[in-house]
Amino acid sequence: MIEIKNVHANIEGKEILKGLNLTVNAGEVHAIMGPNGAGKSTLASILAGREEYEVTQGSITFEGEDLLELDTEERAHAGLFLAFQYPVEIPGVSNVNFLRTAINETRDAKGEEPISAKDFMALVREKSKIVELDSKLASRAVNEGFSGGEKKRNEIFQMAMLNPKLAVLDETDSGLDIDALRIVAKGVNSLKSSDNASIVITHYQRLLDYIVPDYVHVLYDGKIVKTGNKDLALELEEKGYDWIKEETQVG
Amino acid sequence: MNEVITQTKFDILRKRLSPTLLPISKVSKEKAEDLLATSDFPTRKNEAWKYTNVNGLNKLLLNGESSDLTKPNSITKSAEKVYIINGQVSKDQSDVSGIKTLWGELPELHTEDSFDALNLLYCTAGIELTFEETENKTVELVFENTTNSAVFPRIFIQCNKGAKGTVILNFQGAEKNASFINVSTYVDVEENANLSIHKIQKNGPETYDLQREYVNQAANSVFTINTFPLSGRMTRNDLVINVNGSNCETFMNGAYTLKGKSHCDNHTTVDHKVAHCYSKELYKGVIDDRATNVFNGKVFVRKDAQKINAFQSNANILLSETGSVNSKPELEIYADDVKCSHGSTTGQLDDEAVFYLRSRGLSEKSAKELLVKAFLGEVLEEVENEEVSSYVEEQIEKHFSA
Repeated sequence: MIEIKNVHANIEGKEILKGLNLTVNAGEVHAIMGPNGAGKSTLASILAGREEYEVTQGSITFEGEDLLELDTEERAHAGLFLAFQYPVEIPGVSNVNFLRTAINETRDAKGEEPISAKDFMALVREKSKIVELDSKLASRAVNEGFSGGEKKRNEIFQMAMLNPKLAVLDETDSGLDIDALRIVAKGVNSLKSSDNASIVITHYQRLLDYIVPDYVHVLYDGKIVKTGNKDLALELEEKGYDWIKEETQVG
Repeated sequence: MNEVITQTKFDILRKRLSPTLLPISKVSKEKAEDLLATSDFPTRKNEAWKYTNVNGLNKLLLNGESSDLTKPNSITKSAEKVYIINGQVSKDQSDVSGIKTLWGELPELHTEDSFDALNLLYCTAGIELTFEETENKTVELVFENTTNSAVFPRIFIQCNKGAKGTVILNFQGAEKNASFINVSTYVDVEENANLSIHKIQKNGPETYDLQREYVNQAANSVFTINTFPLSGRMTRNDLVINVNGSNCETFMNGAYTLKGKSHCDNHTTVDHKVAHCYSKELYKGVIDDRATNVFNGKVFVRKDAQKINAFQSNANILLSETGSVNSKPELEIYADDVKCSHGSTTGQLDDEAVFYLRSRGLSEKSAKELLVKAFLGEVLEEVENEEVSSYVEEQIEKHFSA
């Protein structure tokens, strides 16, 4: 699905990623954990194509294509989805209207016909249930006046509507109470299939009680320094990140 | 003996204009002549024209060259219509009650404005609309400008006691039109009357359009004016509203889309002379390329005009690095028990919002268009006439697809 090879990335001249390697196959859930400043959000940003970040070395291949050559919207058309850590409020732009444009531009890029109004509304009804998002909320202006939990549920709702191959969840658990967390995780789990994959970026182990990863990677100082299964997350929860730092420095 | 003859820019301009064929009184004619003899084009030193330079008027050829207009041009289906083609009232359209285009004598010149004086001396059409007490009707004046000419209509709108009226002033310029449009509109809103004006300025790319509206509101009246400068080389609107009676409501909305070398200047004045009134003003626009925008909004609250609520807001989005905006709100308040506010903002589109939309699959162009439509949508929500708001919305879409 995606192969990230020896990626180095800068922001404002400062190197954040220092040779990151990661391969994710269809059907897998990978968790990326790490202390603040390790480069977690930078990873999400370069995957989505934020222009402030510069990839100086390495390659990213997504479904056989050179991801770094694609514009942000082309990455979306190819099946990449980023759930934002801080979803943006966009007054005056209706959530469903913009999603319809998004779906149709994606279809257009693939040479498909636009979705009919009827099919689209049926899809809205079906997918909003997954994250228990009130249909009124779905029609309101994008994230405007939404609570923290509603914003994150809206991210997963959008993900469900767009049906991506690879979803990158950037600290989706931040700012969520336990009920919202459960709903968000339930949404993610219900979208899981053997054809798609997710990268779950998180600081805390908590989310991984609900979204069970196949692999847990520890990102530290711009590189993946340790990989394990879900037990690694529990170990990190218990011991913190210091032992990783020490281990890395010794190594 | 040598006599120094100085020729003003008005003198140069006037040589190329044909004096009006409409009857004007001797007094008005003399007053207008005097005004023009003692004035010249405004310059930067004139505070009200600091950012708007009209010297280009003398470069307009006004040579009658024509280009095509995309049809149909009327915005409404059922409204009574008057067509004014290249400044002249189209005769077979004007025989409707409440619409007067034939004059024994045009009303006197009341102002000291040199462009108003010019409008009178070279007036190409005089149109009076009257709304009677029992009526609730809509009249659309369609100005089709296909040849490069002087279009100088003088419009009088009389909304009688208790009447409800809607007027659409629809200026449509041809594809390559380079006309000089100069409009004076006098509006009288009587007690308990409710008048709405929707003004669309969809002018040709080289057209200069200088307009002024003088509005008087009597007690318990409601007046709304929505202004949409959508295209043209230069657009200047001077809107002056005198709120002379108590318990009035006044709404001023504007949305503008500027690109290329367009220049747009909206000067508005609302003068609260008496107590217990409400006014609300919202002007928003987007500025692309090398276009320039000026907004100047004055609100006066006179000494005894207590319990006034007056709100004013102007917001601009610059879509290019070469566009510019000069926005100046001016509140002058002489009463002490009032609630007034004003705000002015100029910024770029929110990059984070553009990125968010693109990350969902929208092209950069669609993302920006969606954000601009949402930004201007706040103004369109204020427009009660759906034919007008959907027309303007369509024009905003076209503005982006062009």
